[in-house]
Amino acid sequence: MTENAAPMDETLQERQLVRRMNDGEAAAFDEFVEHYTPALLRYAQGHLTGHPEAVPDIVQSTLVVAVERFDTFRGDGALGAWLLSICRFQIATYWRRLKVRKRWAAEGPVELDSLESTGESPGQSLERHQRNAGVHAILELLPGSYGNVLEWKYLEEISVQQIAERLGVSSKAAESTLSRARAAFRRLHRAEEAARSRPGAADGAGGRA
Amino acid sequence: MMEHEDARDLDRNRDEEAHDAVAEALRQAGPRPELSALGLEGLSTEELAAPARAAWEARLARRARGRRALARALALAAVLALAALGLALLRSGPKPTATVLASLAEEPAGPGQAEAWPPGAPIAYGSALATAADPPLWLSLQVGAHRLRLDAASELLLLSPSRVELLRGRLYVEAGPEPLEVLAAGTVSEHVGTHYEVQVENGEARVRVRDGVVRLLRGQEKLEISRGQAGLATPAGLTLTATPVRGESWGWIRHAAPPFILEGSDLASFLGWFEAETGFEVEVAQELLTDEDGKPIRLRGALGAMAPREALDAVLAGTSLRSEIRGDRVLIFRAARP
Repeated sequence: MTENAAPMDETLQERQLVRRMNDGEAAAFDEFVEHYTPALLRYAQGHLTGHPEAVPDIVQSTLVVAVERFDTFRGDGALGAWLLSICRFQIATYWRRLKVRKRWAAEGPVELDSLESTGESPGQSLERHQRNAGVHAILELLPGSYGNVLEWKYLEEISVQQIAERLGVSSKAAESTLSRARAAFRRLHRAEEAARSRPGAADGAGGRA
Repeated sequence: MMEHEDARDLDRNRDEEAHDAVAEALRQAGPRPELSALGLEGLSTEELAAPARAAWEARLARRARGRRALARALALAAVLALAALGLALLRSGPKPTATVLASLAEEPAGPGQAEAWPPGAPIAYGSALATAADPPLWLSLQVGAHRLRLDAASELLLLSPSRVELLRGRLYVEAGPEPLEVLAAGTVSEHVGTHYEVQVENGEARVRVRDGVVRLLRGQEKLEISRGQAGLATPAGLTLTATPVRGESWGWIRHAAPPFILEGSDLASFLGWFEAETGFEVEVAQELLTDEDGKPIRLRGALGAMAPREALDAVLAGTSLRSEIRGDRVLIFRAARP
């Protein structure tokens, strides 16, 4: 297995979810939208700064495209990464169609005013905002308690023993969960960073530079 | 024993690397804000998922219909061997195919020419498609996530949903949200969400980009082609030149264009279609795309055989908006009150 390959139990769970949906199981569809919609909302919101009215449309169209294209989901990568790639494409299409880039050039970067002032250029600030939204979306996409575990460890900086207490498991199990959470996060984060570095990356950053 | 220890060391190193990388990413991003703090309160998952649910149910219904039709055909055949094969097919699900979206033959059509590819006809991967030159036949295809248009006198090999090879003629690509490789005369074109044309002439490949970015590869050579540029693969190397994004040289793609369904569509989608079909860049303020309640402006009627420019005039005539062409741009603005 390569470092980027998803662990078998995660891909298996995702493939099973897709198969249950393909079999017409309503509970699987509910599970799918409940788990993935918040992540898509965070991602779209982070990449549509100043255009909050477009966020629901982008999330809706991402879900529709995903549902229609489940046949093409190969299951050898993370379902979350696949969904983010669809979302990224929808966002790029939105920017391209509305040509807001030119409108901003004419009217000034009004949307950037809503970003916090850090002494960065507007482009850098926007870039940072989008990266952060990507990280938050990935935390949301992670299975089970992985997202919380990572926040507890790296933001609250609590010990593995305290994580174990919150999860109600042994320290050894908590350590194992943390390790798997890190690997899962890193896999999605690498895919996201690779997508961002492609020419014309489909998230509006390139379009607004 | 040593191998086990090496493997454990490798795992430990990877975990430490992951620890550092994750820590840095999370500390930079900070904690996840509540969705309500992002201005996303009041968006119910159920409402957001409603169109997807409808699409999912429609897809299930289509599959069920497909399965019922297949079962009826098998019953008619009444051949046990075929029935067994049919069951196996039902279990494994339909194999993916490309689909014909439209075929257009110029009169007088050759015998059965357009009929050979009626809209909706599946084409198995591995097939080669050849379009006639005289009288000309154009094809529009759904290949995986992508829409392709094949010019007359062209030949295309459908290798998979993400790979095609242009053997001769011209191909126009409306790229979808997944990778696509177009092989042509020893080159490979990869897109990043774009509209572009690949042509093979005299054994050389040419790629013209109308929107987005295309990466043209040949062996170790690489060329990035953006809107308004053409990449040419000659024996001497890959070269970049300027190219118009609209005009007569793009005219052939209109022949194989699937119709735009105006009824129930919204103005933003229509303008996106207009851009894609003409190569113009549309500049429009977002507030002009919505009504007084902030809802997307919905369109009614049908475009028939109108050319995109005529269609734009017809659509805007029903609104208070007007258009003006300035070079490669079309500006949309609100008409002054009399």
